[in-house]
Amino acid sequence: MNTKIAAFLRDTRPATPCLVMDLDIVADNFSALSAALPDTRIFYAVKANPAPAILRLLVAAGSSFDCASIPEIDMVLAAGATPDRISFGNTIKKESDVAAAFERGVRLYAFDSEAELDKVARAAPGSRVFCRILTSGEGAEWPLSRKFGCEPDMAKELLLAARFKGVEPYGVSFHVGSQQRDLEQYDRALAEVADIFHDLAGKGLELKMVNLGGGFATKYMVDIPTAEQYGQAIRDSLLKHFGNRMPETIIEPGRGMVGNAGVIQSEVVLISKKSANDNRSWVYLDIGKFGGLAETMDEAIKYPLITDHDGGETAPVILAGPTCDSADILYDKADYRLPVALRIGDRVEIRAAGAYTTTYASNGFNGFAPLSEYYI
Amino acid sequence: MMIVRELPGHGPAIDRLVEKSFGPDRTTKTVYRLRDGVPSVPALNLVAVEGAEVIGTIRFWPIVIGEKRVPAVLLGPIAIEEKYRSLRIGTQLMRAALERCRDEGHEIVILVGDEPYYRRFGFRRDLAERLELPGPVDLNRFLALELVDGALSGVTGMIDKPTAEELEPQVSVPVLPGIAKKQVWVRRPWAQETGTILFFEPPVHPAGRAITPTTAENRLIA
Repeated sequence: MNTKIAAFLRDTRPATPCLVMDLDIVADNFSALSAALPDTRIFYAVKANPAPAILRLLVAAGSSFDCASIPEIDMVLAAGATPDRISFGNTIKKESDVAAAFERGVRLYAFDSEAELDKVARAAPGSRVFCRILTSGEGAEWPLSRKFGCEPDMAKELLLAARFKGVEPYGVSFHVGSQQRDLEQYDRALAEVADIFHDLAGKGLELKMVNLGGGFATKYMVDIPTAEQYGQAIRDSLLKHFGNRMPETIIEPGRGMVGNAGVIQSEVVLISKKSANDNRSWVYLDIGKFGGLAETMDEAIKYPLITDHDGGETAPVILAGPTCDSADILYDKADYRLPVALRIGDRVEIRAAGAYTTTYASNGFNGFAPLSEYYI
Repeated sequence: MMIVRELPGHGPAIDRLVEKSFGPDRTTKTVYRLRDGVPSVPALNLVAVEGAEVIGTIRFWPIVIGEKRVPAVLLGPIAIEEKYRSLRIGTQLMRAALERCRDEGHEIVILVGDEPYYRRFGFRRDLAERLELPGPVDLNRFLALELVDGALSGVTGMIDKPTAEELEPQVSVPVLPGIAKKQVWVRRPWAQETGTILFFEPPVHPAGRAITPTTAENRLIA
């Protein structure tokens, strides 16, 4: 663990479970992404972790922000960002929220259907809109396909129609799926986007912006591409598909910005077996699916676990949370092993937990308070 | 600059612009008695926009005249953002709006404003001489325009708010698939003089009012 977080945990001894974030790592991630894609505007996906400390840091660093709701927009504005640095990137918005965002000065909106486009046209007239297209999400650990985006052919029609609805058809977005380790996926998506650009240019509509979404991975168990590798792949692909008619580009990293900057410290509540000859122990932590580890759903995100006994003999375990819900099992099939020396009351550190944890914590299920958080 | 149909999202900016231009006392004016509690005519309301920012507004309210309850529209308020004044945006808004009035089949437009300015659009004091407003007004500023010759002949009496029944019935047209695709740009010859002026039919709200399509489709350029 990084010495800054270790020192904080040692000196402060906060009650567990808690998330401790090292803001220097967030700043480093921003610099690395900026350096890897120097001509691309970064819109931090606020949903990943909307802590004021992170937002203030990124405002000062020059980031822009991808917001999913009015409260997120307000948090970003409160952190000092101007509304021209905000994209209302959710494709599922209430019309009243679009109106509220428009009143706050937000002028960039996502859509993926005609009804959503009409809402934006009515409530935020004259704004820039971008259409999200469906991508396969293949290779992503947390795929985002199906629910968001529309087929490229529909995107073309909607973008053409947008001109007559009083909004400015500005570009196309896609998302290769969160925690995307297969760099080929960006190239596939960009090929489709380029086709939309070329086709619409032929019909007199010059789109200006490609929103490459997120997908930038954070290291959990297996190795991931570096920011430089993501950047190189995206730059090569842009050049290949757009040549010297390079559009404005933006990215929306969330996990890739904050994931590796946080550590959750938790405590072992119980270690038990279900029968005398049970060959796997159940290890219950004081944090589970409802305490902030929602992304263990279907064992999709596999957090690295660190204990004081690492290096010794290990045994397979089923890892679960402390709540009364039988769905509160973190890892059963994922083949987790923990040291046999591990005891009730011992600390377990959950690494790379800076993204999608604090805000996913339930509002007091079973009486457990939402995850407490420290930003250092 | 573009002139487009007013959409719900323009509302707050228009309110601010009108507030800034006419001050808080404006609602004590006689014309506001005719606007109070009556919805404006959405098919006629236009805004001048620069990108997503509202720089000018013109709105119309429905009125009826005299005992015969002759339908007409009351023009105003019309306001232009201060730093965009003297660019003839007001003139363009007026022309565009009066075109829309014609397209929508309106025959009489009433306003209270400077005769030397509004004269150029055809507004006349003498046409309003036999009309009355429900409150104090500077008679020199009480003007009328006939969009159809003779529309005001024989029309006399007090101007009133329309009753709920007199308000054009809000026909609830089922929203058919593809209805939004009927939207069209309209480019007027006079638009080329000073700027781009474009109309479009705003998207129909599934739960809201159906927008009456323009009748001048022979003049549309798709």
